[in-house]
Amino acid sequence: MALKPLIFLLSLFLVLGGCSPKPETPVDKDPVENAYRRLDRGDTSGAIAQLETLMREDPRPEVRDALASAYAARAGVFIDSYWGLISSFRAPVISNDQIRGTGVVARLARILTQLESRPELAGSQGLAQLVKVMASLELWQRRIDTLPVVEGPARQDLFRAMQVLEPTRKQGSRLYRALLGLVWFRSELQDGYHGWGRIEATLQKQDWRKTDPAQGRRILCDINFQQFTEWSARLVSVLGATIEDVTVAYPSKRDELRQAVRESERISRQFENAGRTTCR
Amino acid sequence: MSLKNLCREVLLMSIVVTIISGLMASLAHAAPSAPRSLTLGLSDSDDKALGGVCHSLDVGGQALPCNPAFIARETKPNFRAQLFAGNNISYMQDVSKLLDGEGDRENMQRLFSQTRASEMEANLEGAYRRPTFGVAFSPYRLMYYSFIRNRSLPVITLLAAQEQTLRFQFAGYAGDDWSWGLQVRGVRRTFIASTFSITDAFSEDHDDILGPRQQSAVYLEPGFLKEYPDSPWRTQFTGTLSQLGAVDRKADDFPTSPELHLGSAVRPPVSLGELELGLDLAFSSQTSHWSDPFRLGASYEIGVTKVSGSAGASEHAFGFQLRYWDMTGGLTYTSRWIKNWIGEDEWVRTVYLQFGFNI
Repeated sequence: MALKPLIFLLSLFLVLGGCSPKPETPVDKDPVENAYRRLDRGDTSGAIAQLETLMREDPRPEVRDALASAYAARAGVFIDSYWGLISSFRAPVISNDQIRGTGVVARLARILTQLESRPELAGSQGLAQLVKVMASLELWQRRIDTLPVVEGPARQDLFRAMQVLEPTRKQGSRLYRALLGLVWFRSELQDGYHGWGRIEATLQKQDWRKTDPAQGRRILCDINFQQFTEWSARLVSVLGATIEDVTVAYPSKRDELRQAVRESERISRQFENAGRTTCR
Repeated sequence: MSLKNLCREVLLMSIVVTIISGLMASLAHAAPSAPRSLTLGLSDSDDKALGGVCHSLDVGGQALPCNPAFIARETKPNFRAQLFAGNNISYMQDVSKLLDGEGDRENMQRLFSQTRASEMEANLEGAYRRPTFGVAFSPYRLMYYSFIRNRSLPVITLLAAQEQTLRFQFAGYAGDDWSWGLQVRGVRRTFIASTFSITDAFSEDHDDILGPRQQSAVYLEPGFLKEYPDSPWRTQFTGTLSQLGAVDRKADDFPTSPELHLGSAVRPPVSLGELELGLDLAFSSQTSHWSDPFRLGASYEIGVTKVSGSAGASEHAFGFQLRYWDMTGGLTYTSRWIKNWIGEDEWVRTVYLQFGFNI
């Protein structure tokens, strides 16, 4: 009977089955998984405290991802609602020659056409450049208008999440940072438009084809271009950093994205120059 | 059989069980995330309806029996083929594309737009059986498991696998109503087993996390059967040692972690049809609670209809099959109780369909 060889074979397989490399850390012993459990239970502050401590000891990029997601959760930003936007993201085509826009930008563009017939009115060039900046930002904003707006202290959590991810070179982490940056960009853009509405209301009261030059100069130069210069420059700077994060995740889109950012930055610098020389 | 011989055989079995249990404890690996019944189980209606009790009951509906010793009881040659599929079969095309390395963003979007945990299983198998020998070939078994947590930045544990399996079963009589059996099983797997965030999946260079891997495995799985044909209820005792083998590349989700099945079955006489009741005790490296090994099962066949079911500590199942000429069709429902990710009680429910024919 072939019993002895059979017992030998069975013993051999028992030994072979046991000769294996040590398994990796089981999922339930990973502190990052425990932090995820806290997040899914709604204990974002507890998860943040745990992960801030862990980040000081554990250099894994997963820890930074988890901590950033904890801050984002406390800010109310849940990527599962928006990741489709990232997967289909396309940079807008920015043109310095033609102002195209909707809503506020379109209405201001109509005011500009009135001002074009009055070159003697100082401040009109600055206004024109400002409208171009707003038009370029609106093109970006249309790409991200499905993202949430984060207000108040939550925006600090969002900013902290972006800070946590800044040192990492992992593509997925930089893509996540880019998404958070776009949420921050959208929120800041939303703030700016509120102020812009007041300016529009002031400008629309005038028939610029008939306005007295002195009065027109007074109105245009009362516009706080400096405030909008700083605001738009900050926005374009954040946009540039965000797009750099996207290019880490999508190297093949680097040229397309950087071209769009360069155009936006150039328009912003032109506005800065026009603002400095106007209304002296 | 005399009482003395019966006691001797029970003592011998106890010693063997103790030794093997001790050996299996030393082979314990980290528990895989996907359920063991999905990664290492069989994909057919009887296995799902009866669970481990299929090692004690030979209900005859499978390509090859769970316990290879049962093939010794085969009475005539026959050929059979079956197609088996469970929940979420709509994912089959997307999973296949991922395994072929052709997954695109649309595939991943569909797979990741799911509830917290998802499973999918499908199998195509053909078999030839004759007394003391059986062979089965499954050119295509597909399984999928995903588990998502952290809504803020979804992290996914993904297991997708495609297998080809070839099984041979040999059996014989050892006298005194003892039968022995041996299954030799070869498995070739292509699989993706990875944990990553959704932004990792959507970045341009995701080959590292979604790159398919291969594993080849060979298993030697013995079984025995001890019958008491003269007893009023035709009692039988069974034992099988499954998942005993070696692989070319270790993978936590497909461990070579043996599983010992000890069981018993009876066939009480009924006025109509045929009734079988079975008990199985399954021991593996995942056994942690005293109630884990136990599973009770039953099968009742009358005419062209067969119903079967089983219940264990944390799951139960029910199956229904119809036979028409050479064709068979079945529906199986399983329900598994788990403590979910955040510690809440949850039932994972699955429905399977099977179609087959016997010649």
